[in-house]
Amino acid sequence: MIDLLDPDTLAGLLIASFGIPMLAIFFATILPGIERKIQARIQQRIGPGILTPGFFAIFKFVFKHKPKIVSPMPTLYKWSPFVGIVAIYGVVIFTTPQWADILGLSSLVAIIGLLKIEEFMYVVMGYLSSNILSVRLPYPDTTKGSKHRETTRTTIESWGSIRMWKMIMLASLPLYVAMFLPVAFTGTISIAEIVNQQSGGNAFIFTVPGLIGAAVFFLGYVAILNEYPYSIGKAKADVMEGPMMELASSWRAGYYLMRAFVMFTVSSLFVTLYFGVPLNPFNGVVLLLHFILVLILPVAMAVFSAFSPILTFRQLVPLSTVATLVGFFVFVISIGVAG
Amino acid sequence: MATEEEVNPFDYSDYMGVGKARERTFETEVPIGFNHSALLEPYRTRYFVEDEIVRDCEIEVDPAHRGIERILQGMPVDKANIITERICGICSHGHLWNSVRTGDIGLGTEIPDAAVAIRVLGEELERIHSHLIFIAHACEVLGHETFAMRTFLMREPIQDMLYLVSGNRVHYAIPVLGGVRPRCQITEWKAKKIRSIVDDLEVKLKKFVDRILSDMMVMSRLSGAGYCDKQTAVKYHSVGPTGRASGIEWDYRTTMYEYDDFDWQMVVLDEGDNAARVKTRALEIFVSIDLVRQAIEKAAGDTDVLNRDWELGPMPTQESYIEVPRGELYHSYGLDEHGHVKHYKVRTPTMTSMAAMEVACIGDQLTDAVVTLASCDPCLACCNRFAVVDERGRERLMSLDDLRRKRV
Amino acid sequence: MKSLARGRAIHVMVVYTGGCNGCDIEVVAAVFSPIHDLEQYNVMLTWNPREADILLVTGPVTRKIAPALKEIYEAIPEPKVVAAIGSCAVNGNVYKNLGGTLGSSWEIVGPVENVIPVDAKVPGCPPRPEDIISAGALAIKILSERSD
Repeated sequence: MIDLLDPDTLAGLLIASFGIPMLAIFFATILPGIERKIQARIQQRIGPGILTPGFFAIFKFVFKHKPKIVSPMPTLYKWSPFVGIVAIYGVVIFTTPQWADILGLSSLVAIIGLLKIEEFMYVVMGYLSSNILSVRLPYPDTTKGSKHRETTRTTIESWGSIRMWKMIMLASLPLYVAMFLPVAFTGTISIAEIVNQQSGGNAFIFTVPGLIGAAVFFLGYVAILNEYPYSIGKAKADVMEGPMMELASSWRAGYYLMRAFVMFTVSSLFVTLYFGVPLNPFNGVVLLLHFILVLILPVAMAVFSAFSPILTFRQLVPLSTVATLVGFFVFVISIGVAG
Repeated sequence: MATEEEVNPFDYSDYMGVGKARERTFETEVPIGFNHSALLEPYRTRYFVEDEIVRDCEIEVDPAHRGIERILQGMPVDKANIITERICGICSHGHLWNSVRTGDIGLGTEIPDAAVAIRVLGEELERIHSHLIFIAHACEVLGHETFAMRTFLMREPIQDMLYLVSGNRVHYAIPVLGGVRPRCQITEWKAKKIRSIVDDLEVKLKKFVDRILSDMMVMSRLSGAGYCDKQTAVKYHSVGPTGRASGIEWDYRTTMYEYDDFDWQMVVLDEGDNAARVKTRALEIFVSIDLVRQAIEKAAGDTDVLNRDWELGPMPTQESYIEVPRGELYHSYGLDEHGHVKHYKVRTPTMTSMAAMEVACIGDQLTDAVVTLASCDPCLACCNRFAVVDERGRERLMSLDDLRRKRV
Repeated sequence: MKSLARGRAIHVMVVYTGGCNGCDIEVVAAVFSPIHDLEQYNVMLTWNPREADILLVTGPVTRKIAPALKEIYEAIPEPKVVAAIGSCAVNGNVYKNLGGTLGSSWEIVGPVENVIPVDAKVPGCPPRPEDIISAGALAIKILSERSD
């Protein structure tokens, strides 16, 4: 039981709740730039500066004038990215050791629930937006002689959000299976316990089930960020940008921030669960190591996504099924080995 | 003529038996409007989908209508020839050559051999760069930005070669009535430079095309989608590489007198899906590179490229067919007594290839259907010149003048 | 901070209004080709008017596209810059200014200026990728000097 009135624990709690996420947000705005730069170098050209797609883009959108958003529920639509940011904020602070015993929030189940909220935000946004380029485009195409004039039209954004629904099931499932693998290894769902059991150089990733689990986690990481090859929810080929199309100025800055934040957070979860290096604000060396290890997954994702096209459900369904089955198989084996 | 058999409206395996299925209402319609990341040119498609599978499709190519035939009526003939180049930016040489060829055949002008070889050189270089743009566009619609960028990188030497021959990267204006422009003659140092660029390019292109065609993820997206069998292709008269990928063995270059002295093969595949269309064009690039080499041999060092001894006079309507990168191109016009153009008619291959693709994309997922439309290599800037009358006798595209006259 | 951010992260949107496609190919070569790469100047390509700062318009504006062009222009949040690329967009080129016995074409609304206000013009048929990039640089300069 933790004593909240003790000044040391209170100070630690406050620093963990406010200092760590600020640091995380600053670091997160560099990650899209690194990803884009690596993709550009693979494509044999100089890409944009490292701060441009993340940091400067967010500020530029904040300084733009706000247009009128066309939407049935504009307030909900505009603030959806911020709901996502709050959920991810929760994920970051619940993985710090200072939150270890408070209300059972520092467990894997809570983390996964909060990540689901972020994924669901895309679905909500899609049904609420109607961009000029989708159905409202002024073009006279239902004239005499056209086919099927009375069919209802779906906007491109709601089509994208239908796909995001399917992606939540199909493509994020490997991520959650991979997140549960350390549970099989250590026998507990509390994050602090998982970290403690891997201390002293006994990291999970250096075992064979750990390596396979890391590969499955990587596929799930690419999926939750909607990068190629899992970007069918916002595929440039038909839905352009999907649910996010009508966001403009400050609210689009919120979306960019949410995406960068997710990029950091899921990678940070990977480092905490598989390497056993926590986000501890009071240990400078461990914190620095954590931030360096966080760079592994975005860099790997950049290289992987530069070499792959968008995969449609024809290919995604078999791929995700195989990845989930592999993760499940490793889970069963880990239980056998550890127990 | 459709046979009167019973059509089950829930059976979509037979996409040619329209009947009752045409009047059925669909779950929803997704319009892919004319400003879109997957379209290089403005055209409007309406896909009628049910749970990600396309059940019906309607394409409208109207936004690019500019009324060129109207402008050309009554113009002096050499001015009209140059304007036809602006019908399209990718196949500009094809339009200009066909326009000039109509005039040459009608007036009975004798073209020097070097000029014939240089015209063929321009067309084959254009074929290579057009097919490379197609491959880059197909890769981009698939989502593979890396391949698209590398293809554009490969394309730059071709623009340099065209710049060397004619003086401009796009809209080269090589043929004129009676031959080619004197600036475009191939001197010895130009020929040497072009040969070295072509040799270098061929090696790189071979490696690159092998890499694309053996990539597992790209091929898994392309194979099996957008199937168009030979019967459908013949029914909708799809021409050029689109038709040749479905097994139709026809290439207009076999009938053109300019290609009589050249040695080349026709590329015909019979799978009929998107992958076959990409492969046909990739293989045609190498046939064209060989033709470029032969054309350089014939034209190098020859300075007699323009025949100025022809008379401009009245000409009855003359027509001419050539093979452009997308298929069959038809120009026809006549000349009145002052040498002014009358009744110019242009008919481009994309018109019918798109009609075939409209039918071929039925039964695929929405993302694959967009790739199918892109895989017939649409060049809609050329396309919008006619009204389309489909098999029910209904007209769907009309120009503004027709609309006013018929009061639709 | 405002002008620093505006000068360092710019989104460009391209609208094709029914031209012959030569300018579009040169714009694509300017943006997409690794040789004349536009992203190195911190200019990123987008297809969404809500995200764009610079609008590149090519082609003579045909009748069917004119209302849509106006709507797309109004959907872009301020501050914005419009650049007309190619002779068709600048003055109508062959479609608006030439004609035989039937006169010039009725399908063209005219140069882009007739529909939306234009800040930068790039003539040429088609303009070279280097010219397009310098128009982009001019537009960036206009954008970062806007103080509102």
